[in-house]
Amino acid sequence: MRSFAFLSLAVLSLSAWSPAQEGSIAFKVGTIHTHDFANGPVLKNATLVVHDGRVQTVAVDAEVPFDVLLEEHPEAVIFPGFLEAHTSSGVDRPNENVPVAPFLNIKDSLDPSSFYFEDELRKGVVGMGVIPGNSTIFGGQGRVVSPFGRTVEQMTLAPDMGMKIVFGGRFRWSRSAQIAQIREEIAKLNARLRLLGQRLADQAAADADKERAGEEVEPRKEFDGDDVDISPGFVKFGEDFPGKDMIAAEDLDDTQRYLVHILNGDMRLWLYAPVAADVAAAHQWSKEHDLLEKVVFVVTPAAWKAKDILKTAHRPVFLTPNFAQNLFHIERDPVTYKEVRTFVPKVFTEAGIEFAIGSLAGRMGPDRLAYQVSLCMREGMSRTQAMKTVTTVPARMWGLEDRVGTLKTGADGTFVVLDGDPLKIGTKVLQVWVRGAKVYDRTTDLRLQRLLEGGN
Amino acid sequence: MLSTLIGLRPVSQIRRRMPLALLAASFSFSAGPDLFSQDEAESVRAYQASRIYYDGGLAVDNGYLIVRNGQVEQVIADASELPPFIEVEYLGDAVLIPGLVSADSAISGLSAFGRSDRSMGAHRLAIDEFDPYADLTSLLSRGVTTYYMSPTRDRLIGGRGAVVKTAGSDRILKKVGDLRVSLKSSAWYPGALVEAPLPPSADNPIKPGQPQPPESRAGALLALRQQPDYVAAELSDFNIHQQGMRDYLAGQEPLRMVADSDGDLRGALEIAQLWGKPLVVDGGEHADRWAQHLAEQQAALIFKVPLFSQVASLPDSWQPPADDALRKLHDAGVPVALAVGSYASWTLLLEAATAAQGYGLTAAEALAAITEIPAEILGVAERVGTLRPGRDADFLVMTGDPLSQSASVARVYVEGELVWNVADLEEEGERNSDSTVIRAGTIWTGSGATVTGGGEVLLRDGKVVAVGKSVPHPIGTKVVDAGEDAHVTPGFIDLRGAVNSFRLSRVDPKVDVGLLAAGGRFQRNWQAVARAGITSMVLTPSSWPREGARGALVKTAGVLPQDSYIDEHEIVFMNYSGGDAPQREEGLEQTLRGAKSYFDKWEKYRKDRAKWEKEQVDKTASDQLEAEAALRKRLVQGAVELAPQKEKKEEESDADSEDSGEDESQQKVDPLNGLWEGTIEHEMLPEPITAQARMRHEGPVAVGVFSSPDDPSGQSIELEGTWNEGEQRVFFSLATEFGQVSLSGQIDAPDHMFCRIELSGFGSAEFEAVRTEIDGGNAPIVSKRKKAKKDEGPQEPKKDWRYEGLRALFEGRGVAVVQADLKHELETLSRIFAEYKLPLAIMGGSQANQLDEGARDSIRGVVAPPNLVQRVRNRTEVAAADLAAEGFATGFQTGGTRSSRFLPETLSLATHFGLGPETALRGLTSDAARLIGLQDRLGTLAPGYDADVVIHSGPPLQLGTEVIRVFVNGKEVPQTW
Repeated sequence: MRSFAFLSLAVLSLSAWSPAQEGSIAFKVGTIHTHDFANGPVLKNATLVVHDGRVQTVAVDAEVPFDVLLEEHPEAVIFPGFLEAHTSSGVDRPNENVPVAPFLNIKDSLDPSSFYFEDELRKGVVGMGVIPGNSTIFGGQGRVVSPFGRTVEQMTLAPDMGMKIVFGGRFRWSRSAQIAQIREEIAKLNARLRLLGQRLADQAAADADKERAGEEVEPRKEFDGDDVDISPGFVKFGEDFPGKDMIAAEDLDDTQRYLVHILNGDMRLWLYAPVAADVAAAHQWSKEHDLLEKVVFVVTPAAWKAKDILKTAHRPVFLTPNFAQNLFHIERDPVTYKEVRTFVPKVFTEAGIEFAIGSLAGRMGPDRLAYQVSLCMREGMSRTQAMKTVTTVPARMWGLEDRVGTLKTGADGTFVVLDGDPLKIGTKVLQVWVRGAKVYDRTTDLRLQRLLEGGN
Repeated sequence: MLSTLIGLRPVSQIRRRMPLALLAASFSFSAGPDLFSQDEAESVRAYQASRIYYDGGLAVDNGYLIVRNGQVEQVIADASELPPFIEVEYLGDAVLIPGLVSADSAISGLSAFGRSDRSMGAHRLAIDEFDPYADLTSLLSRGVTTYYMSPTRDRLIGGRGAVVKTAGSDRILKKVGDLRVSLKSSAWYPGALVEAPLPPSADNPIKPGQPQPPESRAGALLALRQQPDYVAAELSDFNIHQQGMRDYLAGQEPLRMVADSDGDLRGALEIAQLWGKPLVVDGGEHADRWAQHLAEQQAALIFKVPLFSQVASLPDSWQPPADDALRKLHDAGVPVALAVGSYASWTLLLEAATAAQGYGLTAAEALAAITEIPAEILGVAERVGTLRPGRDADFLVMTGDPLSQSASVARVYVEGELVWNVADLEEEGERNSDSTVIRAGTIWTGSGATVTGGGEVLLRDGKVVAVGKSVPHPIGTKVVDAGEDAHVTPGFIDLRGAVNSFRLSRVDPKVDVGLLAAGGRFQRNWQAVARAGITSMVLTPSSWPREGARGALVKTAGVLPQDSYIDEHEIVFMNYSGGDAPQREEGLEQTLRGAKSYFDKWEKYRKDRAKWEKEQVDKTASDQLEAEAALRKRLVQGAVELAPQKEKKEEESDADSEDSGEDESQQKVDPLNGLWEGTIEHEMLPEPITAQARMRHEGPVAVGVFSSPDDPSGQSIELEGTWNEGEQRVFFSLATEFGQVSLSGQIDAPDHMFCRIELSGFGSAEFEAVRTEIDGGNAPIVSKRKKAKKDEGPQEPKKDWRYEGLRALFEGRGVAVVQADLKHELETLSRIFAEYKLPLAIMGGSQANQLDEGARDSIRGVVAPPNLVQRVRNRTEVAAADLAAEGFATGFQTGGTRSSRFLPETLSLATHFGLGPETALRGLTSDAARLIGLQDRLGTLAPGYDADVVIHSGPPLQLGTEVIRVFVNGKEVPQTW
């Protein structure tokens, strides 16, 4: 086995030097985990053809175009790679100290050279949703990236991951204070929009009077060098009020503009609701503002008691592990003092909730998605159920289900080459390919070599 | 009749509705599945309790609460008014009260951080803090079913409160309720309000924090007075508090002012008047001074009862509320709800209500102050606070009257569903399961002082734990309140009793009378005797041999052998009346001599055995020391001459093995003969039984003597069976009344047998047996087993069953009860028993009063003959009265042929003819126990004694008094079979 591993390493490293068309490669390997759960997730002795950065074919007897280099590794395994649905790692600081900061964008905070990304690549993680942390109210916007690239733009899989809104669990803030402030911000926005609308309507009436009188009318504010839209009709939510359709994005400050984006339903909303009562509040809030369709619930294991709400909401759920208890929820009966343990992914699976699970990679706590999947299987979930939570479900949460998480025709040519089953503890990630380009190779992983072989 | 007085709803309405309901049901059946399923979900149930408080202090005794679909339908007083076919849950002695309503709670609003740092925040909602998933078991365990949620506490204007239920389907009773304003100094100095401009610019610079009021009471009141103007003002920018305040002032909800001092109260009254809002004062330990003003303004008060679960950090100048504080407020017409002050858990509402009686409320008013009145003040009386028709069926099952210290919450129902049950804790082993408190007007303890004017007895685990005016009440304790008229006595003892269906004739002395009686225990007659108050009786065989018959004390309502009789204590009955006096005397001397020598034999064995065992221990210890010393020595030598010694050793061992080989070949060991021992385990057996069998065979015929060391009788059975030499199998069978019992054993290894015992029709058990002794048919034990001939030390002497009873007396475990009447008989008995230092009680003893002092000393007392009330010439006499008057401890009996059931009645009559009631009672309890040597276990109500208790409707042993309830070993004897 070991000799094979070295052999395959040697072969694979040779192949890296072969001339081939940019973004194209074909692999014939022993096993391909396509994760195409509808059409059989595992193919044996199959070929994966990536052409021009996209999957052209994945089949047992795929035809390989003449200009695509074919590599044959009968013992190797190809796997679409793990996806970390929601994280605040890989940035300089996860939380802004101003609680209402919807205008923040994580792209300004992402550090492409962070060791976090390098490490994740080494573990076979090919995509992560990076979003501001949970210690704010309106935290800012996230971005889906792959862990490879010199600039944020190179890394980006999707720029519009969505907005973080926090409903509870903020240090030193009670739930009622948190919700009161969310309510206050929106009430304040509404009041200000009405004042502004009134002013614009009055202005328009005055202008009309002037025009009728033949006087010169001061033209409306034009493009002022930024990319903020100046067309009226920006505010789409809520009741009508005078001048509502005259308001343009340009008329509002950054906070107001992004709050309007949120309420308009222009962006996906990641509602952080760590415990069950927060889920109830978050669900109530999103229903009140008619935003439920945009919501992803971000919960901790302590929220499992709200499973009925999560089920009826029909929205995806992201389960953040607890750093000490991981995916378990442990509580004590207040009278008998007995310990009650609940394995939350199992509860969610049984309730029929679509959910993703995460790791705490880059922070303190469980740091491998493969381990999380294995844990789910140990606690009685099937491999398919467990595997979906770190591949297809995160892809669907991001709206990237046609691109990552599944190896099927048309998807990104993003995959991981391993020397065994992706869940097995001794399995090594040999190569990682992102959109048809090899971005990681174990043979050239200097840091790993140094770790394994010593030296300095 | 009573129900019409209660007037909740005429019964006839219910009856009239029945056919309609049936019609509706049948209609819905045809109408479609949806309607039908709705109908199916309808549930009607009744709860019986000894008292139901349905509205504040109004109660029905022995009533029924009818619950339909989670709502109260009706409370009725008479079982005959129950609707037909209704399911009734009988709660016995329990008392039902409405679920408690807490007018304040510590569940929300505590956070001093996380403040949305405004001093005034009318927009803040306590309901945001509502956690439908929180575990509120600790609230339910104290009976709180509805509670107020407070908004931020330490702010001038905290926000809007809410009212929610602890359990149920529709928990939020009031989402946005009263406005909470705190005038207390803890709300002063709120800190500056900083609103950071984002992004800051020249037009919108960062400004220093805005100072906020209040910094004094004057500042607080000023800010509050300005609120109406502030609300009306057009502000340049949006302010969320202004919006919240506008909403509040436009609505109908009351104003909750947290106010303690006189100044606070005056301010509270002024602000409420200014704002035109109904006032609820929260706090106000001294609000009674303002009773008149509060009443004039129709204000309500949430009175914080000072309870201390810890030593409070209050100033020395702190004054408790006045003794009549609540009385004054109540009489002035101020509705007062009770809550708990800040030095104890807010859930202690029952305790607060109990304490409030010290401030002048009656029990009924105090109960209303934690149920009905808070519900009204919080504006949720339409759903909770009472058990009036249409309210939520939220009620508590209390073990006694709610405001007595004895009562605790046993169960909690919300919307008719059981949501908390103290028994669940018992299953967890967290609480004592078996406690009962019996309360009555008079407790007659048997010895020591009688408790009058109300007293209690705590029973637990079959024993009396405490007796007194007021005893501890562990959580979950069942309380039996027999009322002021009732008297409680220890259980009665019949010193020679019988039960109609159970009479003993001649009984072999091997047989344990107590165990024999325990077998017949499931019969009704035993229960009838127990219900008459006879909790113990002494059973004797009817014929008494010269060596005495072994009687036993039997509990009349025990079921299991261990709680149905006392087997370690012997009561030996002998007859010493009539006949030839010298001959009798010699016979008695001879008997006691024989018994003494038998006892001495046992004593010697006991001493020898103890000595031998000690020697064994010493020997083992010294052997070990020797072995260690030898080993140490060898190790020291071994370093020098290890190799030669080793060789030598090997030679030696070779020689050994050759020798033994020869020995073995010379001696043929029989595979079967010997003593076999095995342990039988089976689900039908309460515990594993060790069985022994000494087996021997001659050709194919096997003989086995079976016995068990676990069998106290020490009996053995000899059986003949077969032995199959080729297969090495042995087989025995025996026909019994249960069926054929067969035992087969397969010797699968030397000295090891695999056995199977089969009882046809019942089942079988398999077990292993090993040979512990080998009997040489012709040869002794093999040489390898040199050590097997173990020194087993002194063995028990053979049992002589005739003397077993008397032996116990010599050992101090029993008493002799001797039938004798005449003076000379009594004198002889007294002398001989004194000589042997044996305890003696006399049965009969009609001339005992003629005995002199010396003779009396060795007699414990006299068991009076069964015919207590006798007509002697023209007088009606009670002989026992004379004996008691002479100072003899006197016990009573029914004579062993008639049922013990009527002994108390007989004594009741005897008290009319000169027998003192006190004497009669003692004779049935403590004196009886002393007579038979069980004075440390029976006959007295004191800690550590058996929990045998009788509750009488009036003074015991008087004509017209009945036995109401009986407890034996702490468990009540059921009223009906």
